[in-house]
Amino acid sequence: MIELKNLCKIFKTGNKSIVAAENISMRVKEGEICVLLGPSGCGKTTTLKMINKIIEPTSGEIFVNGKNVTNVDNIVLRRKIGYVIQQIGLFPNLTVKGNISIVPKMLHWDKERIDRRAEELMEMISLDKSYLSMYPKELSGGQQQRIGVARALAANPPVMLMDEPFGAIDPINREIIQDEFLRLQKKIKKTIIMVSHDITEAIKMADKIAIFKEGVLQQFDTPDNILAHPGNSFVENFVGKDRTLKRLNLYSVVDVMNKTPFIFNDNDNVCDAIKIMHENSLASVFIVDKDKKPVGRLVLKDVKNLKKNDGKCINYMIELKSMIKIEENLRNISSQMYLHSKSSFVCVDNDDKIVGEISQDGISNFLNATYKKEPKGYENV
Amino acid sequence: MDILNFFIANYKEIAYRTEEHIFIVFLAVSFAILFGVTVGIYITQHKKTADVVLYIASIIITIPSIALFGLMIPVLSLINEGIGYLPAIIAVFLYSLLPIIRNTYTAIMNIDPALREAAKGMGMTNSQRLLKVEIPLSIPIIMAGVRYATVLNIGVTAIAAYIGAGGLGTFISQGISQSNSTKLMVGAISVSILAVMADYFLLFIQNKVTSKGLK
Repeated sequence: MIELKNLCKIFKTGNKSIVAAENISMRVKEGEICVLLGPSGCGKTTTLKMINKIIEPTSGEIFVNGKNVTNVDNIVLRRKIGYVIQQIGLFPNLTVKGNISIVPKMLHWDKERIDRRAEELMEMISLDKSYLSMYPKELSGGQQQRIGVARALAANPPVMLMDEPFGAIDPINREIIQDEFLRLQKKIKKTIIMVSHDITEAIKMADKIAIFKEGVLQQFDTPDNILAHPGNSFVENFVGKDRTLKRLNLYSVVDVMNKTPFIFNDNDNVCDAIKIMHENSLASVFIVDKDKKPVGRLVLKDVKNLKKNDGKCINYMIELKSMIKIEENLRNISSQMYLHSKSSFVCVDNDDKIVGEISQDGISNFLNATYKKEPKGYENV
Repeated sequence: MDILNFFIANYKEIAYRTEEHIFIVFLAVSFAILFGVTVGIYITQHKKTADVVLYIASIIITIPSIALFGLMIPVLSLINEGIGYLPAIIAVFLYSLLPIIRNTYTAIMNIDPALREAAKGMGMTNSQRLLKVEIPLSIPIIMAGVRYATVLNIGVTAIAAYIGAGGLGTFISQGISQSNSTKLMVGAISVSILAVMADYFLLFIQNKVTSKGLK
């Protein structure tokens, strides 16, 4: 847990003083990732660097896991806080192992423990042990970044500070490394404060987002609330006009799908299906085989003129072209809906068995729910 | 052919003079490394002093060596060391300071600020940062300064023969006064060979002490 109370930083240059951070108060729960977000010069980096006192706060208090660290010695404090910077900053004169064992060595761990930890860390960041004896210049940018994270994690600090940790990596590798980092975080559950200027990255990584402007914290909330209910016009402009579309990134199919769609077996009588569709005013139903695997879609307007005993569903259905896995995020699904010009998809689990149905209306209703819940927009504040 | 014969006939004296030459340069440059690197590091923390120190060191190196020896004679005569090894060692020490101080200063000032921040953020103390990061990273540039100082001062030491410091300069000064061009050439060639060999030797040392990650 990290808590900031009325943290202030005033830089004095000559007779002018610049307020870089004004009364910042926030609390990041244990195991959460908090992203500090804002345009350059907004105070996000200053706030981050005040936590490990790379920048000395002018006033205010900092608590790490409930302990007031405002007056703890800088050196002692920093050894307990993982620190990752944008430029990575691996020491080129040391091997990978030399780099990641710096803090353990300063904490006087014995050699055996350091060796064991080094191997453990390599496994964590999914790099082979053989990299331990390499020098930073022999590694790619992405590998260096992973080592940078491993170095910060070396002494197993409860909290980590990350200053634009993925900023120097090309967009394709950035996605991969972000995903990897989120998987790792699920296991290690550190309390993390991360600086970013990229709203997309913040939405992806954060449990909480703190938006800054000119040294003042504008809003501190979950990504969904920031996007759905921006607290003021600055936040609204910053998150962008497409903020509802950005919310699609936050949810996956399983959160939204209709888990009890009407389904029929391929051997069922088509007239039973027609009857049910009429009764429930459905335009179509899904047809599954005996293993519950979806095989087709029966569309009402194709079959409504059929008479009794005209045969099985399988003879009239349209074959399914695409199925959706439940862990896909809504943004990808929406994209597919436009691509195939479909308003609904069948959702399957990892065994390809039917588990639900997702529709455009379903997504709209889901996204809308929060707007209806709190009708008060910022205009009225 | 004369020169070769001279070498063969006088190899014992040449070896002795070479030893003398190396002794002067080695002792003086060693002191200059200890003093120069310390000063170089110190002035990275004190920017105002840096300009003054580098300025003074630059002035020293512009004084012609023969003039410097002349200036030292009356001063060192007070302790009965006006001529001989001591003034030679002092002169070589002074001439070595500029390349060593300047290279140390430049190397440390040019270290990527990100590395300094990373070191700080991990909780390194100032001296840990200096010993584990800043000096190891600066070694190639500091060593370049040491090599320059050494080669330069192998030349300066040749002139120190005029104040009785011995060394390979003895052959040169005798060659000139006796109009013996063979002796003169032997002295000059020996000094050149010594300079080239010293440079290669220091390059070898430099490669040994530079981290593989920096090559």
